[in-house]
Amino acid sequence: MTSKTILYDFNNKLCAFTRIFSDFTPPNIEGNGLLSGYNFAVKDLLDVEGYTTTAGSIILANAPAASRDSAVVAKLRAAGALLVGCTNMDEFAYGFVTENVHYGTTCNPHDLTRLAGGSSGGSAAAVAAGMVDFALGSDTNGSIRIPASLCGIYGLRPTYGTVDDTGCFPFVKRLDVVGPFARNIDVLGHVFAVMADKQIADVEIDGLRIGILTGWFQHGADTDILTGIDAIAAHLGGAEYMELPMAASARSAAFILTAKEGGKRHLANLQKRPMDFDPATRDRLIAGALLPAEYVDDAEKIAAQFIAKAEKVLEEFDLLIAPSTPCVAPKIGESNMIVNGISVPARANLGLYAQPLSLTGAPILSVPLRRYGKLPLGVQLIAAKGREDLLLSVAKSLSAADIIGCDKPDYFMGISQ
Amino acid sequence: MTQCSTKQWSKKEILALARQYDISIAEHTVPKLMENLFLLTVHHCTVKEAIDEMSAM
Repeated sequence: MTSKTILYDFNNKLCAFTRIFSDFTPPNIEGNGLLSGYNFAVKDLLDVEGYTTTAGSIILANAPAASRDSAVVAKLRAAGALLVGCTNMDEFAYGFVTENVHYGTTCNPHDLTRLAGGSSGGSAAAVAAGMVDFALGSDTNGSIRIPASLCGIYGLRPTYGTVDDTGCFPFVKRLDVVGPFARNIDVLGHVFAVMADKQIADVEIDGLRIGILTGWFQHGADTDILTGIDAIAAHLGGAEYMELPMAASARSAAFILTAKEGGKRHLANLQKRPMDFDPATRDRLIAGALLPAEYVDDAEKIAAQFIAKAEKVLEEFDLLIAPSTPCVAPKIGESNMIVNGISVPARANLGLYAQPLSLTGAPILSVPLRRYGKLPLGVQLIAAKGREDLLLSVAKSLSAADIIGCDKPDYFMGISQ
Repeated sequence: MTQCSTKQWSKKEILALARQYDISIAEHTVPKLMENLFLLTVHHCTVKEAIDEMSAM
């Protein structure tokens, strides 16, 4: 159990938490809950009884405190887990960087000069540094998978609708999913089981039909990540290289639908108090609010087509594999990042491979490639809806073979837990 | 198939649209807004071209 002093010390380095509870002394637990002995943190868009949910914004900072825990927080506490605080995020979950003008920039525990990713960056950094055993984030277009990749931990986007999102501040309702981060794949499985009220058993992984996504999902990817994907496929008995049709247009459709729904959701505050938004969020939300209806109608058409095609592919294949991010964590404050030696805009490109897949509603697990002494990189494992059990079993096998796994960052090594 | 045009939004267009939605735009935020709208227009072009391709099949 991490001490409060260590939490504060680490947080001074990382800016992972927006709030560390003063009263998180462990209750006298008998140890009979599935998650007894584990501590956790939640992205500051999940209601915690007695505290105001900010969603990374000062607009909500003076809102009334939540009268009850969000559904997932209640389940995790009932299973014996100890909640220690709320974590930093991009304002209203609109971003992939966790650079928040109000609450600070969350640093990557593997290199404090680099981004942790976002929008659930505080949760990912807290887990990667060993401040907590697990944490919760939300994933609309990649907000769990991207920080999981950059911070070198496991991050699960569960099947859409599997986890009760009551008490979660929404972004794009049709895409929003609450999911867990952990350094240990068994812990991740236990947490997901509690969150989804499911029994998760290990399943047979011999003879899986596996597809490595090419085309859009490999264009611009760091060669290390492609080598890592090949190693994963080889361990699992081989895979077929295949294209997921319409990935580029699906990503664009997701971009448009997200902007429009975000703009619509926040329109009243954009009208009343635009200067209270983080400028990076405000300018994108206003652009979304102003979008012509034609853009949205066309995006809907493409989204529907892509979903149908992806469902067909997920009937033909048990498992799909793709990079989570194109490259390692970009430097803080640099608007561009290097992908395969080429400089590209960081904010827009971190979500390249994660964003189109959100539309499918399928479960996606970002797993950290084992990269001793190098900055982390993650790989997405994708299965049919409801098959989190398959993803977890595959990850356990890969972890046992040391192909994937989490390294604690040097600075944080041996200080906690 | 028609080539989609990635139009740049003018300040005048943006301010007129914002008025329709009752949003006040601060002068210094206009360049970023133009940039974001342009990016969304580029994405719409990608979408539109995919629709055209589907129709042509």
